[in-house]
Amino acid sequence: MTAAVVRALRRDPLLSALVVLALLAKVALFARVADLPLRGDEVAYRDAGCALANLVRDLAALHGPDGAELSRNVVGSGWFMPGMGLVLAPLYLVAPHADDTTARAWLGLVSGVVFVLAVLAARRSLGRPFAIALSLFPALVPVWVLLSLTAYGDLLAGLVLVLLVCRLVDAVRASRQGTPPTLREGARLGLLAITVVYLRSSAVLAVVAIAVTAVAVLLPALHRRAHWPAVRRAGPALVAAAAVFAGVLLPWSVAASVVLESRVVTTTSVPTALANTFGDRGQVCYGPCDPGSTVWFAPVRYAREVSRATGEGEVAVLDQMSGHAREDVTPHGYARDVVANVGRYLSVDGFGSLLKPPGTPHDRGFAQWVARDLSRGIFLPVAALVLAALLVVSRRRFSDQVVAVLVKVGLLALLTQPFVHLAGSRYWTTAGTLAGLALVVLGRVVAGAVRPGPPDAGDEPSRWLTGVQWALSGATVAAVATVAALAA
Amino acid sequence: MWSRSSEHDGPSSDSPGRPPRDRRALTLLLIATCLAVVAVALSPTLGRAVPSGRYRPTLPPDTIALGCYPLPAGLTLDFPYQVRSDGDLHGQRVLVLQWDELDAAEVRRLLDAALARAGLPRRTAAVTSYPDAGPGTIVRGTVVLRLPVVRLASDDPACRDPATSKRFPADWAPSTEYG
Repeated sequence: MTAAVVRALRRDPLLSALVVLALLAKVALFARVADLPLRGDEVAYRDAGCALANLVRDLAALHGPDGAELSRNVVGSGWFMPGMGLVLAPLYLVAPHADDTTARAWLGLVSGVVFVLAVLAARRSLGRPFAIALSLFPALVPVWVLLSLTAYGDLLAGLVLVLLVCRLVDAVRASRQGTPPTLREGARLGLLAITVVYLRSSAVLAVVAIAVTAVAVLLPALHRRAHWPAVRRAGPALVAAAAVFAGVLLPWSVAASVVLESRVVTTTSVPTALANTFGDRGQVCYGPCDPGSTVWFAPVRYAREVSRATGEGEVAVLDQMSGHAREDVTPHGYARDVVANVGRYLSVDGFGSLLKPPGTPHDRGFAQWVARDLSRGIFLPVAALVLAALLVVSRRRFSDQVVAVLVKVGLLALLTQPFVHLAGSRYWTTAGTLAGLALVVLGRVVAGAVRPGPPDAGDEPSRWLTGVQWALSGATVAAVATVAALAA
Repeated sequence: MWSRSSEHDGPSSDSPGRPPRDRRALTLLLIATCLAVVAVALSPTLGRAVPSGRYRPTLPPDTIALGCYPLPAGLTLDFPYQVRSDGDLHGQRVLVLQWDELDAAEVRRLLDAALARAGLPRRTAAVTSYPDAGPGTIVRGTVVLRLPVVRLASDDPACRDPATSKRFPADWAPSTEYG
């Protein structure tokens, strides 16, 4: 292990030092959250982990699984796919009574390993600058490091998304040279894609958008170089990717649908989220929901009561509740809510003030400055650069164009979040990794404009990818302008 | 950057056939599998993890079915409903329900029959349909019943939970905050 670190340091001192620094920051900030009990949705992920560990335990002991425990803790109300439950299950399998400090240490270890894998993959597939960027942003943003010690799946989903982008770039590169993806590569892509969705179901849009874009780049590249037979040989890989994606998604969808007696694909939370975000919260339960709870739990309790009275599935009830609460939504009100959501999305310091030792004074001390102010101080300028990256067009090298298109498509798909859901100050962590990659995209476009040079042989730019980027830039400007005009 | 970095390319001279990276990955996979098998085999002897179940509390029967605060003898609610609030106001019990899936006339007819059985006047129940209620709508409208005051008549623990009895303390905040 030590030898491997020394070898890595010798091979690439800067990148290695940055990775070590990011991991040291994790160790240092662990002290801030070591005594912080799992809170909010983390409790649901812990419960899922416990129940899944018990499932394995029961099967190993040749007992029947505890269906009630699984229904209640893994499916629950169908809000969360069991990705983080699966991450935590090995811990509760070997240490069933592990305390929350141990759980945080385990979560930090897992996110640390996946971070290193993402950096290595970025270095191998995209190039060293991308790996360095990832090790700087988001890896050195204090609140990102703190969130890497929590059970929220957003951050891990962002890291696995990088692994997916890297593999897709590999596949496009090989296709450009006339080699179609193999069955195994297809299966691996499908597995990475569904892993992202399991960790954070709202990332499904980004995963699908990135995958469709990659296929739309890959097949013409393959056709140009190796014609129809090669395109046909790519078919099985694409089928394998889709089959693995669907095959892993299916057990969740079936289990959630059966337990909740409704059709569930990924999550049941969308109607309630839409109602809470854009509708009249005083009408979600055809009037106010029961007091003394939250905008999430009270509507579900109500839907369960209606379901109990009528025999209708609770998801169908939630759908109708959402429609009723949103009857009077106007374009102006919707746009204003989106603007407010964007503000919440960018408030990355929110978790900086939550993730601290219990009983510590709010808003005071050096550690709070690091967690909140420093995080915000790094994040906001980077966010401005990422916005610039979304607007510039890479048109000098095919290799740069592929990364630019996949990163932009992924980012834009993730940034639809404030348009459909009450934004939270941790949601950026899914997009954060792609934002790190976008910085290099921007840097390369600027460098190319300042010092233009011919591309390497075989790396000539594609007009199709230039066009796609213009379309993406146009869509970004149009979306911002429309929301601004409607909200005014 | 478009060409793969050379250190990972091709088989190295000391291992014909399989690249060292693949061999290392295979070894790691083998070790991980062995550890996983041992962990799974030992797991039943280590005890059970205890999930909190906090995100999906059990749902007890509704307050009327539990008989927490009974309805007057003979008054039955013969339609799908959920109790929205219950409490005493100016010497009267005010029980607010929503009904589901039936049209207002049908609910009125069923209530009239039940009120007659209980010897209560028709005005005891006010029935109001929601303006957007249509044939496919599940929740259709509100019934407000003004009844004689009764005391708690069940020792079921759920009856003491306002979430079930729907007798909410006045100082409970509305559930409209993001949390």
